[in-house]
Amino acid sequence: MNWQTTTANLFARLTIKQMMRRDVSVPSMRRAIGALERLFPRRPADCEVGRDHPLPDCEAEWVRPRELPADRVLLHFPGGAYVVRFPNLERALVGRICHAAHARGRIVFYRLAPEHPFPAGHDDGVAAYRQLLDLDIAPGRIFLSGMSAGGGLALGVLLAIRDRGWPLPAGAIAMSPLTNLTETHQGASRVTNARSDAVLSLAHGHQLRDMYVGGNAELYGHPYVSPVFGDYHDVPPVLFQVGSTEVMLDDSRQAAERIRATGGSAEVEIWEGMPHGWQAMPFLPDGTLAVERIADFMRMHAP
Amino acid sequence: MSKSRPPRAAGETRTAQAFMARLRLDHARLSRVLRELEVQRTRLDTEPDEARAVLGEALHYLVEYLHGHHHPREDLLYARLAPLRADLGEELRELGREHDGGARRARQLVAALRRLPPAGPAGRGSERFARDLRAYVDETRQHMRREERAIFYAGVEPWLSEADWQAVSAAAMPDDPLGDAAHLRRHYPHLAAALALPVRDVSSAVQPADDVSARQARAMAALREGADELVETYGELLHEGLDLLRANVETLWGAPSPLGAVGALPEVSRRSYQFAARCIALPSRVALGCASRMLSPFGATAAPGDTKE
Repeated sequence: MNWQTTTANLFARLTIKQMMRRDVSVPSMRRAIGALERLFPRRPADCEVGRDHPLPDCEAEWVRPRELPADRVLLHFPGGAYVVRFPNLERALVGRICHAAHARGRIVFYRLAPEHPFPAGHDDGVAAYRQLLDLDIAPGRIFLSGMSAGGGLALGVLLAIRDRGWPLPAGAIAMSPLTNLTETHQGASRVTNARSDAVLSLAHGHQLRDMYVGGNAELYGHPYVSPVFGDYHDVPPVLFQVGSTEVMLDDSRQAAERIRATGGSAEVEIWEGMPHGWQAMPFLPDGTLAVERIADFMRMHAP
Repeated sequence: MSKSRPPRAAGETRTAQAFMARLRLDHARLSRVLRELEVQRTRLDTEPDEARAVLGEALHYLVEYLHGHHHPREDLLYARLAPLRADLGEELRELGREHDGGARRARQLVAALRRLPPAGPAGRGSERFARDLRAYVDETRQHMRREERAIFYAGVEPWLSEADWQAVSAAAMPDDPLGDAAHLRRHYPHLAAALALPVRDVSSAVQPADDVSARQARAMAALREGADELVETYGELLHEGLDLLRANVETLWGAPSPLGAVGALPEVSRRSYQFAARCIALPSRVALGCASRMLSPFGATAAPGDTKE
C-alpha cells in the first residue's frame, strides 16, 4: 500500500470512523461533514456546474467539462447513508469521471432521511432518469452511478426503470454500494472487516437504516431498498468497485452474484486495502486509477 | 484551411458514420484490454505463469490489431483531414507520432516479456517490465482520450467529402478479434478467459510474491489488525480528551465565582485522573491482545498449508 493510502486510512480512522462510532445524531453528523467539506473546492476543476432543468422534488446539478465533447451522461447519486451528503466531494468525483469518459454529469441530490424516508429518494432518482429521456438523451449513452448508499440507490433505480418498461441505460457503476439492509449479511464482511475498515463503523447501523425506511421494517427486504434481492433480467452491465478491507465488501460481491444469477452481467473489482470512497480522493493513486477504469467501462458499453 | 471554414455538404454520410463508429468501437474494446493489462501487471510475481500468458496474448493483440490495423486506418483519416483543418495540424502530427511510438513500445514489451527471468521468488526481475507496461498503458489511455477529444467526438465528419470517406474506408480492415468471442477463445484463450472473469483483484501496486509461511502471514495479519485497533483506540482517546477538556472548561468557566471555580477543582481533577488511567490502560490492553494474537499461530498445531517453515 502506498503512503498516500496509509495516510488517508489513518486520517479516516481518527475522524470519520470515530464520529460514526460515537454519535449518529443527524444534525451533528451534518455539521461535522459540513466542516470537512470546506476542505474541498465547491466547483470541480475545468468543469461548469449548472442548475438548469430542475427536478420537482429535489436539487440536481449538471457537471459539464469545459472544452470537451461530452456525449455520454453520468446520472450520479451521492452517498452518505441516505441521511447526509458530501456535495463538494461528489461534484469533484463526477467531474473527474466526466473528464476521463468524455461525459457530462447529472448529480441528483435526492431527498434525505429521516425527513424524507423511502421511497422519496428513490422516486427522485427515477424522476431524474425520466427527465433525461424527456430531454431526448439517448438511453444508450446514459450510465447510472452511485457511491455507497448512492450505489444502492442507483441499483434500485435501475430495477425500477426496467420494471416500468422504460428504455434502459447503457450500464451502471456502483462504488462500494450499500445493497443489503437486512440482517442476512451477519457473519460476512460486515463482521470480519469491522476492524480493518478505516472509514465506516456500523455501531449505529440499525439506527441509520431505520431512518431510511421510516421505521417500516418490512421494507428492508424490498429490492429497491436492498437491491441484493432484485431480479436483474434484461438489465445492462454493472461495474462494482469496492475495497478489500471494507465492511461492505460482501454487499458488492453478493449483489454481483445475484445479478449474474438472475440473468444480468456484473463484474466486481476488489481493490486491495482501499478505504470506503477512495475513488473520490484524487490524491490517492488508486483513486485516479479507479476513475480511469470507470471511464474505460463506460467506453466499453457506450462506444 | 481553418476551423472557421464552412464544412463541406457531403459530411454525414453512412460511409463517414460507419468509419467513425468502427474507430470508436475499437477504442471501447481497447479499453477492455488496457484494464486487463493493469490487472495482470500486478500479478506478475504472485501468479507469474497465468499473468505472463495473458500479457503475452494481450500484447500480441495490441501489436497485431491496434498498431497493425487500427492506427494505420486513423493515419489515413488524419492525412486527409490535415490540409482541411490547419487548426488541428499540430494535434494530428502529435497523434501520428504517438502511433509510431506506441507501436515501438508495444513491440519492445513483447520482447521484454519473452526475456523475463524464470517465474517465482528466486527469479524476480519483472519490476522494470511492470514499470514499462504501466507507462505504456498510461500513455495509450492518454492518447486515446486526446484522439477522442480532438477527432472522434468533435464532429469532423462534415469536413471530408464522400469521396474522401470512400477512400479511407477502402483500406482493408480485418475483423477485431475482440468482437468475436469464439475467435477470441480460439486464438487468444488466456486473454479470453481473463476478460470473462467476473471478479478481479485490483491494485496500483505490484503485489509481492508470497515467500513467507502461512504462520508468518497470519502473524503479520494480526500485527496489521492490532495496529489498526491501536490507532482507533488512540482516536477514541483523542476525542474523549477533547470532550473532557470541553467539560472541564465549562465546569470552571461556569462557576459562579473564583471561589466556586476552586471548589470545582476536585471534580475536574477526578475526571482528569480517570481519563489518564484510561490512556494508560486501554492502549496497553490492545497491545497485549495484539501480541497474543500475533504469537498464537506459532503456539498452535501446524495448520494445513504451513509447509514452508
